[in-house]
Amino acid sequence: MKYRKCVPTIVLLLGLTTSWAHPQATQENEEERIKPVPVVTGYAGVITSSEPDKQTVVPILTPVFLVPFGENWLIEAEFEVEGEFEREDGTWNKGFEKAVEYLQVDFFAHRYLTVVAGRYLTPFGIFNERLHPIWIKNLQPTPLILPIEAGSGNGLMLRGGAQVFPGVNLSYSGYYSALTTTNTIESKRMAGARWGVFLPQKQLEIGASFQRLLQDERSNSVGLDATWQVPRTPLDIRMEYARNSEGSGYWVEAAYRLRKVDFWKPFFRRSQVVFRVEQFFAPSLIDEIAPEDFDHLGDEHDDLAFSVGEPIDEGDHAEEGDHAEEGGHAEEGGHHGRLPEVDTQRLTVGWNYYLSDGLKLSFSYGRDLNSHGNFWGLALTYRFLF
Amino acid sequence: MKSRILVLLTMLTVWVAVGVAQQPNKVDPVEKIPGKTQVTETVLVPAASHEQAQATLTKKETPAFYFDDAYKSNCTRCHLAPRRFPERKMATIMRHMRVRANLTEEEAKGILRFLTQ
Ligand code: HEC
Repeated sequence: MKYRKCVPTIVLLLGLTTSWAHPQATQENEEERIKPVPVVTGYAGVITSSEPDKQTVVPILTPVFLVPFGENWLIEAEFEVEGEFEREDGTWNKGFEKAVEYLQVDFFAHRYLTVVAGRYLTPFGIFNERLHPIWIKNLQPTPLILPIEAGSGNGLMLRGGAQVFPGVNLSYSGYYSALTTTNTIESKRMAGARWGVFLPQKQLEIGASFQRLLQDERSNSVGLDATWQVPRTPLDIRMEYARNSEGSGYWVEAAYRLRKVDFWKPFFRRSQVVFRVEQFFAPSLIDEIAPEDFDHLGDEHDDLAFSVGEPIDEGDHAEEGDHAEEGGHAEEGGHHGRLPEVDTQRLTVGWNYYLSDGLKLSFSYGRDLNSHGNFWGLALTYRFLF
Repeated sequence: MKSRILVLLTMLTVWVAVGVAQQPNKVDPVEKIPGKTQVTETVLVPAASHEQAQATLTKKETPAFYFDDAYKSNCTRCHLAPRRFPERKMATIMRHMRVRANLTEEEAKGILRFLTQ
């Protein structure tokens, strides 16, 4: 395996980097004054969604454990347990899912470098790593392109940030993951990185992600993301673009807090309206078949029409007739949906009502412009911390 | 091959970052920046947006508080400004957020100080 050759390079560079790093003693240590304690946090919620012929109720519990030790260490873990109650054709089906989202040890090797080992959320784009918790995301239905972001990886990650010029912060996350097939901790063999430029005064962050799958078809994924919190306006704009061999797409989302409405102030002050537009472009079937796939056919090219009509590689795609699963508007808490099989355009609008710190009521309505399918959802989510 | 280039590129970024680290802390002390802000209200409004977080801060100059900017620009970027938790829990949360948000050690510790005043 030629990629194995990279491992000694990584280890060597890692060793050099960390040994070059100044010991942390040069810093005035705030934590000498405040000793961190273990924290149990996480979130819980009930998410319902409804389509003309299907209703789904998903209760979710996601505890997060944070265990600090020493001066420079943290163990962090997030587990997800969710039930799935689905009503189709008048009958209820029950399901149950559990997963380890992350289980990692963080070592603050240097003020600008953190070494992470274990199972981590893949830092591809912004949704997977930062926005997936149900108390954070502005709309419960997940974006169509989310499956490109590859959930979690098992391995090693180096990450950090630094101010390179006044007013310009650079951040990086580079990771390697090994193949794991064990249920609840699956991961792909892959390597990737995300680089971000953050302009704090402009409240603008732009990121670029790259990932190479080191198994199967060894394909690449690329992504771009942006987060802009419009200064002096309670408006947040976020967007992502991602592309891999199974398709490409983007989403743009605007979330506006209704602080400036002059009547019913107590109500509107806690309200937020959200609007998201997204598109997914599936590769055409002809694109999916590499020319060499035809070679063996020889004189039997007449069969091509038949071959093309068959599903070729189910990969991460939703199966036909299973549109409810696409992009995950029925699969709420988890963020492991499948990519749509066909070009899809979707508009989603939402309204969030912040009842108190961490407790939120959300309503969303979405429409797929190609299939003219509608779906709507109601959710109650809560972030707790002990 | 491409993945090796990727690994090297990442390591290069790390080295640049570590290189920068050899220089003294670049965050200007507040005295040099006119119109810096200080917290006068200790309770951060729950479910605040970045705008609201700003609104809880009023002007007054004290060097100890120059991390209010780091707080404002970072802590509402991914989620709404959380409320203040007891300081030992806040210390743990800041370790967590240091990793998530790729904060530098100065930022993480400065924000912790800001949040536990
Ligand atoms: C890069 C995005 C990002 C930034 C910036 C960020 N957070 Fe978070 N924060 C998260 C995510 C994601 C979670 C949820 C963690 C989880 O459930 O896995 C979280 C969770 C939290 C929690 C709940 C407890 C916990 O640790 O999980 C608190 C409190 C919090 N953040 C405070 C802060 C503060 C204070 C800052 C400013 C330094 C900050 N956050 C900046 C992404 C971010």
